[in-house]
Amino acid sequence: MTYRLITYLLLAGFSQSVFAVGLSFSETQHLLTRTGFTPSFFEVTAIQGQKKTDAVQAILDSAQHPDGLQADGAFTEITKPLGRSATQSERDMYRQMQRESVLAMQQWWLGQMLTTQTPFAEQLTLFWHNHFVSSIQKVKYPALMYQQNQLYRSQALGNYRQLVHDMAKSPAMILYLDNQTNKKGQPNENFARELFELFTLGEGHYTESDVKAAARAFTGWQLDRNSGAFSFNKRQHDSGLKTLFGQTGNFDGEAVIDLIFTEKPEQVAVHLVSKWWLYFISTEPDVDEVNRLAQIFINADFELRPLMEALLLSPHFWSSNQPLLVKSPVDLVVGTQRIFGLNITDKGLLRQMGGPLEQQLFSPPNVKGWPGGNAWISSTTLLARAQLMGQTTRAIAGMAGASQQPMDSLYSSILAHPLAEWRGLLLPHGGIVAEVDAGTQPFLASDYPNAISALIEDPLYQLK
Amino acid sequence: MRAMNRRHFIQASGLLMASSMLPFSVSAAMNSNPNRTLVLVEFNGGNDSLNMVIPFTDQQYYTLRPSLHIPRNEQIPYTSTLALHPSLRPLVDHIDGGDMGTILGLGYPDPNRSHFRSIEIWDTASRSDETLDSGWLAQPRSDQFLADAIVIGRNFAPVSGNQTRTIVMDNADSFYQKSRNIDRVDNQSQNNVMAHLLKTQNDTKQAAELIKARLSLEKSKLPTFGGGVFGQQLREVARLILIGNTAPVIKVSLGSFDTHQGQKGAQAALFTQFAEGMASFHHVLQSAGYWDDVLVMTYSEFGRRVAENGSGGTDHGTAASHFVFGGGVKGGVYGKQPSLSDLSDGDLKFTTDFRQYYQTVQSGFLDDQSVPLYKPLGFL
Repeated sequence: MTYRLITYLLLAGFSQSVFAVGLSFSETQHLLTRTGFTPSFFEVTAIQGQKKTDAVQAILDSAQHPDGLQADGAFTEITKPLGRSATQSERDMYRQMQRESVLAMQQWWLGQMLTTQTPFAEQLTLFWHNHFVSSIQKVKYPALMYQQNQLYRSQALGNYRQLVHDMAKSPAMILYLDNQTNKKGQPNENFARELFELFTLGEGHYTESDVKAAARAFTGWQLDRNSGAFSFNKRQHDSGLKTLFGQTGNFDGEAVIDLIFTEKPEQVAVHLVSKWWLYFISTEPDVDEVNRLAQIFINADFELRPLMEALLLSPHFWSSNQPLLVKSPVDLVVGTQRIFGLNITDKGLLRQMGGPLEQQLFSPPNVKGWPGGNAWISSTTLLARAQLMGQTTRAIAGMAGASQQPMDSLYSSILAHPLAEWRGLLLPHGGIVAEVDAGTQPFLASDYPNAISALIEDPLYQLK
Repeated sequence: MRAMNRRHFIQASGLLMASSMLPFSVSAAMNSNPNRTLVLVEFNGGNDSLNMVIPFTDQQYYTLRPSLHIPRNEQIPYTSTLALHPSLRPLVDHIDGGDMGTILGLGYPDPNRSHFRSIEIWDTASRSDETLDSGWLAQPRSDQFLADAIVIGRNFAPVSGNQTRTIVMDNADSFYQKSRNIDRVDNQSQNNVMAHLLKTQNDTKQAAELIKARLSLEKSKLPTFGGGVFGQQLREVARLILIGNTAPVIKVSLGSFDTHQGQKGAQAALFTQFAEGMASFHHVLQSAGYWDDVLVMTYSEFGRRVAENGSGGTDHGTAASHFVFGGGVKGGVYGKQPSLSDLSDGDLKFTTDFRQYYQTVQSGFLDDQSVPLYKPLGFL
């Protein structure tokens, strides 16, 4: 197995000073869990002992060179809409095809996360999917959701201003927030409002008249339904004078986005830094540190990599010996499988993710995305999570049990580490139920999967 | 109809006391009547109530909505100035007019047009310029209930609080089945993430143990409640009420009403689900003798812009009308329809503070004995 991330780490390792204090096992576990998914022993040991700054640089490099930029499948190709003359059976077939495409696309992304060598890129893609939200429920065309997903993956740590420009023109967004029908003389405010409220400034940093003016500026931004590409419809564009943030001009959509960044850089920076904090650090942002990071972001002209570097090197990122975040359903599904080399992406699992676990890929609940944080845990999702962990541990035990050969990879990889090490990997902050005495081993190798299941089924495995 | 204790209200203005008073959620403990259930119906996404309760005599309605107005011949007659959306037919056909109230022009000063901020204002009964942490129904209640509140579906913000035992479930059977996978935990934590996880786990286990004892009592087969998820949710609410002592507050939601485009068909389909579900709900509870102890109330983050947009839809607006149902409701119309001519930036000016709506429920249905902060509206 060649791990691209690990290649970067090994390269970075050459510059390691002999005097530097390297990352401990638990620090490495923390860094990899927060920037990707729960790591395997293999991933941890590849990085453990590296200088913190080197490890962070390597992880940033990996996100800028993601794998998974090509996918195969019908979902990557634009399907022409049915004409008005289509018969009922043609419509039924078309809908069936769309349903299959959506499922294939969800399976592709889940599989990509399960096998990727650049997990940070996937975690960032998931972040952007939840920040610049679109949903297949409304967009309908899988290829447009796929395109948007690739935009987020390829630009995951690019320039934020550019990402906003590209996102605004992404056909999925044009359909999702109704810019398709935003026309001269009859503006539709949906996109303009969320551009300010959710995508850049945050609520309270713009006025109702800013929303109305911006809606006019984005009139005529459409997609060509046949080619599936962005197209500017000049006849539907309102080129009249608009006043935004106290400035007057005949602004178009691009000018509006630029104005946001030139007129309100602090608000833009604080908004994104706060969201990253909630995603990567804890549920309680520290105001002074948020402001410090925001200033770094502004000074870097909204380049995302320097901001992420500062965030990952912030003392706040490393400060706690307690779990401060709830794992998302994706974290649980992907992280647990990756540790044991499982690759389950079946329909049943996806149905579970979209139903009781409440995180269906390509289908966030609304334009604000999944609320995340403590809201991941309610009585209903808690029960769904317990059920998922039960299924996963049965899958692990089943695979381990089915393989009577002692050198079978899963079985031997489980046996290769004492339970105390497994506890350090799976419950780095300790557990509530699962008590494993360091040094105490099960008498029989076949008891091992059960002991490990107890760690995964501990309530604190839900946190990170 | 159920006779209600009328309380004497002194002031005529909406606001009885300074708005710096305590929010609803920390008002005095309540002695909820164990038989009563408040059912919240959230119209998720911002319902266009002008096409729900139609000011049909106002020419402006037709002028500002050239393609989106409900034609006269399709409207259901309601009062001399108001008509109802045609898809609400099952409501008027099956529920006694005396058990249905309409409250007009609900809103709040300095309205916010963000979905997320505005629903937070409604969920916490806050002012537009303050942020509160707990839901307006977050009071812990008696231990005789298996939870303080049950949410079927999502968004438990109106019943969310540090001390509140809030249970989210899809249905009681699978809730109990799945609860067998978890155990009570004794640990405590100061860390908010761990504390939330542990509290949720314990509340869930406790509720599941209580519901187990009662599920065996409930064998009755209920009819289906119309099509769609909403009907299933409302059916589960009916079942929980028939089981008895489950929770004093149960919430469901219906949506999305965020009809920026293609509103006509989308809203009609949602109203059909709502009205069919409500008609079945009424029928089941009426037959079982529970209707007098139930109050159903609708709410939404905002209404929508008076004028239609160019997409066959409406953008985010402000004030909206809402419905209440129940055997204890004094049927009729409350509040005043906002003018369609005297608009604020294209939006309605609210005529009744939504906290008066809440106060009416707190004082008149949940038996909150504390001095009201807002003047109740009289529908109970």
